[in-house]
Amino acid sequence: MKKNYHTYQVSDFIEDKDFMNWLAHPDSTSSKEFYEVISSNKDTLQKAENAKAILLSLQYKNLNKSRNKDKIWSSIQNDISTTKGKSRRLWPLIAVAAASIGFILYFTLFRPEIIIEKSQLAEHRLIRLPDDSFVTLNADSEIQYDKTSFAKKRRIQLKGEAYFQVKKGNPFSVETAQGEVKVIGTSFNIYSRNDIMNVSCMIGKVIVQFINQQNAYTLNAGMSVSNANNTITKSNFNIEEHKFWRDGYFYYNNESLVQVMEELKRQYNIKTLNYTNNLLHYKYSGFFKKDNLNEAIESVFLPLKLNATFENGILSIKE
Amino acid sequence: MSLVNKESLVWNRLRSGEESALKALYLEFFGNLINYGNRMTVQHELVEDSVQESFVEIWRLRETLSPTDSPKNYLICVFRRILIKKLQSKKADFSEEILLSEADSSADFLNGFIDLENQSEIQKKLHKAMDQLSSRQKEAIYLKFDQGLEYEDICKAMDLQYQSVRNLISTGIQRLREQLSSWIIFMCLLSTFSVVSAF
Repeated sequence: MKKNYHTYQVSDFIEDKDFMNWLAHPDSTSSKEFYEVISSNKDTLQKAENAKAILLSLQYKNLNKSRNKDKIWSSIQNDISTTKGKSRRLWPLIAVAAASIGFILYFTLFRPEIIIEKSQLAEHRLIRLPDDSFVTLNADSEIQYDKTSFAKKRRIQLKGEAYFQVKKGNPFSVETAQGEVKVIGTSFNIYSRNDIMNVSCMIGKVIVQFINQQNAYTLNAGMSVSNANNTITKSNFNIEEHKFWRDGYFYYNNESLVQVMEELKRQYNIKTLNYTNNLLHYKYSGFFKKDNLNEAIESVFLPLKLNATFENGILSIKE
Repeated sequence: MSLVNKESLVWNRLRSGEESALKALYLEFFGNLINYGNRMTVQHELVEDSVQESFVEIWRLRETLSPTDSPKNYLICVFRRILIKKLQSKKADFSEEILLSEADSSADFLNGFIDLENQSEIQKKLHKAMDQLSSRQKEAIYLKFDQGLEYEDICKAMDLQYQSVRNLISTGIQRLREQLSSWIIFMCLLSTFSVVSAF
């Protein structure tokens, strides 16, 4: 944490995002970090507590007195359809007929058919999409798409991590909680977990749009972009040498140890991770493999001089 | 964070003309707008009409809307503009007598805090201090801390300069702080006094 909270006044805390986050989610890891920093000085802690008291007193009553939520919505729908310029009143019969035909058509031909594909912990899955594109799901991941409209609009929602091999054709896009990736026909990987999105392009070209960012990022083959640590970083990698999770390799370049441990947990179906808060600031560079848990544990924790033991599905890490 | 992100995807669907997206935004933010409006005026029908017009307006303008990560901020801006316009034109219609009483009710932003049954003294004091703030200060603080808007968005909604919004909020917070610190000093004195008297 770069901010010097010890110079903060009460009003500075009230304007601070980490402070607000601490109030809203006191149990999150970032809040624990925040509390650790401010509680190291009694004065700072007192000021933060004062700021907390002020904000907690500002609890607004709910003045949502309206019972007309449905009524107002029908008026809105009415207004909207008149701006569309339909004169239903003149042709009530035709309208009814057209509506029922539309209704039948919709339910027979155009009804959305949402397909959800999931992978379990420790499982990788290859999925064939209706257009003959392929998606490989990493462990504990999920995609979702509408089969009916897929031929026209290839749009997929992703949670977790997946590798895409896209057949050339209509625009293809992947939405995640952190943004959107648009493609023309290519192979690429998306990692999207815990507020972090990392996109690597292997063949062709993709356009990455992060939510909360004005600029879009265009990636050619061998480039990747990530929003880890709250900054957008674009970097190059060697496609020939680069092995990915699909080959059983998990690479990290100065990334948070917690992120690495979470991946270990997913890949080896570990029940519980047991570690203390002082591991939160550790960074890891290197890789682990998916075939042998003991080796994987060694390659992650040995270089960091951490003590790791695995027993009864629980991985415990100590300094 | 993920909620906000979902919203901006819904916003994009609205921009491409999906009516279901409009409904999703309506269901999500109806309460926010009504809550806000009922603090600006006691004329609840005007508030409801303004909500209706706001959604019709963003539908009408859907093709010209730009991407946003917070549809709520946009809705609040549109809604406030429509409501204020209605309040002003309504005032012009009335006789002078009604106009005076109307002017009072609509010019005074209503804080409306939760009255906890076992409300502490200090909370009562802070609420009292909050009620003494100017109407604009109340509104800015409400938008910041209840609706969760950023300074930039409050500027757009209230049509103010960045610095004046900051000033509105920081002088408001300053007043609350004064209440709080005098309370803390008082409590300290009280506790030392009781310790001394115990001996």
